Amino acid sequence: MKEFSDNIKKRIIAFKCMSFIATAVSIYDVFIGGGDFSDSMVGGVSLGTIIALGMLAVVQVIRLSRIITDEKQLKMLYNKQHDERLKEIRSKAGMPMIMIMSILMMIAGIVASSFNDVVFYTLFVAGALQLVIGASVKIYFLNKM
Amino acid sequence: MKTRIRELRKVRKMSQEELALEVGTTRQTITSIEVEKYTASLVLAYKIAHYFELTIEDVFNFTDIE
Repeated sequence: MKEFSDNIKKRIIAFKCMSFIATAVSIYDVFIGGGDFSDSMVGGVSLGTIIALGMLAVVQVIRLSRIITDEKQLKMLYNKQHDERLKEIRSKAGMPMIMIMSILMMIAGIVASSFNDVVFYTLFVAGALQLVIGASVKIYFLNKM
Repeated sequence: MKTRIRELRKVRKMSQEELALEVGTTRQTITSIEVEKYTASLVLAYKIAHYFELTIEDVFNFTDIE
């Protein structure tokens, strides 16, 4: 359990970094860049995604910080992450590869937005759809199994 | 697969969550096993049977397979 607790601490640090980067990018765009980046549709979608990821990271930091102080909650989280049924459901839903691929596609889309809007939209929508399909399959099997 | 988990839990007056914590799984998995939606692996079946100090055959009903 000590090893798992250390792992959670590392995750908290990673989420803190993620939220810090999202905040820095948002502040830069709004106060220093004068909203130049987010003025365009592509820039707006990209910045919105970065802010959403930052907010999710903050939620995770709060959640994990509470869990790490409570031994019972920590054990429950450990059990959840090592539960054989959930592992099987995740595997059927193609996780974690679908999630990794989708995030990489979205990042690639944001990078490609500097060169071509169509490539950005294609990669972004394809990545988002993959996530939606993966989540739907997961919900289906959570109810079925 | 039919099991006696619910019955054994009631005897010990324990909740699904308590059993889940003891055997290293989630409450939802215990529920799924009890309502026969999910068949436990050999390892989990052993942990559950071991917790109740019984054999796997005493907890899980294999007559359907036989």
